[in-house]
Amino acid sequence: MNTNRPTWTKPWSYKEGILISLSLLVLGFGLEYLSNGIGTDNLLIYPNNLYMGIIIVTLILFLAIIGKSWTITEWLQSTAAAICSIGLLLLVSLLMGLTLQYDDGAGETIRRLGLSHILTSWQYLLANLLLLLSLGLTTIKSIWNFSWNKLGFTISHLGLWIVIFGGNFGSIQLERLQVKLIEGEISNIAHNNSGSPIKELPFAIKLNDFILEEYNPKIALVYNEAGIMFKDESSSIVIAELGNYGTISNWNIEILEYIYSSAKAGNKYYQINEPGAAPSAFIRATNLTGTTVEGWVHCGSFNRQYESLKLDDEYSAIMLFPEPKEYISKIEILTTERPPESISLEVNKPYYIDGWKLYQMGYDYELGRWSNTSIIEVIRDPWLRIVYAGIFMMLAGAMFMFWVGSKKNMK
Amino acid sequence: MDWINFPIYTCFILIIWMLGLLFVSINSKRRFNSTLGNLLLIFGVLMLIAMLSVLWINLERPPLRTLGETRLWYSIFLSVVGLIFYWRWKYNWFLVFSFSMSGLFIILNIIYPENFNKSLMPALHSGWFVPHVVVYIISYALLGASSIVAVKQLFDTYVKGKSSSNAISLADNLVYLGFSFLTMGLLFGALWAKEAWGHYWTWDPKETWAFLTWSVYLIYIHGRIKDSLKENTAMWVLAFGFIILLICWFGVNYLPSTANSVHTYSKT
Repeated sequence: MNTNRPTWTKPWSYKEGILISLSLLVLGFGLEYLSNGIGTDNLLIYPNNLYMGIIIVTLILFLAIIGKSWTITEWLQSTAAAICSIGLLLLVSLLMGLTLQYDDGAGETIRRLGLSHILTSWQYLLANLLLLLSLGLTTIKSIWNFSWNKLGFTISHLGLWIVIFGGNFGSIQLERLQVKLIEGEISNIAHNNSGSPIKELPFAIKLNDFILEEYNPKIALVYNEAGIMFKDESSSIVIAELGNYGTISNWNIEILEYIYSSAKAGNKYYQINEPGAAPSAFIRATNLTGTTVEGWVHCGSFNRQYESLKLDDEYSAIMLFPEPKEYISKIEILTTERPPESISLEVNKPYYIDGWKLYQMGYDYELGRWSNTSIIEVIRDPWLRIVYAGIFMMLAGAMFMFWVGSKKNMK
Repeated sequence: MDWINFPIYTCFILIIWMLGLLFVSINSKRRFNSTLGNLLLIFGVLMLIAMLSVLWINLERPPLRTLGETRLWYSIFLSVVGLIFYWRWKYNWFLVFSFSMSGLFIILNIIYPENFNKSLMPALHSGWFVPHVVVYIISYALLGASSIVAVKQLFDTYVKGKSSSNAISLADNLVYLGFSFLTMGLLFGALWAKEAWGHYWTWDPKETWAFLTWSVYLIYIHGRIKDSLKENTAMWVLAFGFIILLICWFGVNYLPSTANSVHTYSKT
């Protein structure tokens, strides 16, 4: 790197790179401020993303073919440009990493500078464009001078370009909606986040059954006066399970009896199967001085009162609500062309149909395992395959790097 | 944890490691010292692995959910990385630092013991869980080791006035390996996110910081091409990168931007 070279004379390097990046950053903030903090929200909509893609690709090809020996093209293909463009995007993302995004309580200046919505801000768009140009030109160059030795380089750069482009501009066409299902009923109406119906799906869904499995609940201590939970990282958690024991604060807790589905009659809990019949446990608590307290704790439900056990003036024992282990919707997919299809939809196992992916999303949290509603998320992303192609190219690139990196190691 | 006395067990490992490092360091030219030292270090690592296996069996789920659990994995991988790269490069200081750092993470677990909680929320019931986190921890171990080299180089440059160019190629190798794992971890995470949450990238704070971490190491790698960045600058990038990595791993939970993160599993 020749540091005596006057700025803006060929070949450009870090000095020019830093000036270009900073100018883009200032320009971004300026445009954001002038647009009154609206950002690129109205700009980046379908089909503008397609036009933008065509413009970027044309620009890259233009620079690569016509402007091949231009100073700026050579700079964009240099390591300095790579570092400056990654650095600019890093800086903009750092702002996103430090400020709360999409926060309604953000101050006027924060909002007007786009800091509360970096993803749709001008500075983010400009940083991405610089990176796409530099990365695109570098990729084209490596494709034209292709050699098998640099296969890893070519596919990782091309993959990253596709992922950045598809992830930013393609995912604008992402449709992310919800269908609220009630047991025994059929629906094909998808709602947006705020609950207004906006789309009729090409298929209908019938909810036959909603099943929720839970872990055993935990026993905890609360301060009688403050009503808040005692939390100490060194105390073990006591899971309500027959014969289980553990220490919380200065109390040893032992579970003498546990009923998953129970109701109170008199001063005792009994096994019963009906909506709202929640877990209860008979516990023995002994403290260091030998004082022993025995009694029932019950976590309660939408129609049952919880029950705590007072241990001393300071603490009471309570049972926390059980945490969900998994939840499954037994649904039927109804289409006009095919016979109905029965499937079990659970978290982490989406179902694919006609360009849509169906996800088990939620249920009536207040009713918990007695919920007879299930919320299914339906997602359509026409660019998914393209982005995935990019992701797999990057993965292949990472494998190459692992291999070449370790070969270097052996030298 | 009732089935094992964590502090006593791990203190024993720490003592074995200290003995091992002592034998390797003092008069390492004597074959007996070096072999004994290495065996002690390996024995300590095996004890740690045995403990993690018992933990896995007792929790009835992969012990990868909480920060404390990931710290245990980190200690194991960092010590393994330390040993392998020591056998290859023969730097005593590298062995000492990687084992010290590994030990530090164990001590952190002794000071801040976690509730080893059995429950695992539905979003984590996935085949992606183990590969995603394990690949990440291996990468963190390699990159952590590279930052040891960076700090040592910076110390040598500024305090002693000379640094070794051989050590920089050690840093390069650690970063290349670490970065390939980092990329795999990141992309496995994206593929998993699509299955669990419906989209491969949502700029959740943890994702933002993972991207930042990835970018810093990307800058380092580009900066090392034909010495594009001065060696010293590159070492600063490496040291800075590890700070970003640590924020991504632990710090994110405490940032104001994380109020709505879906990645906080250990707060409940």
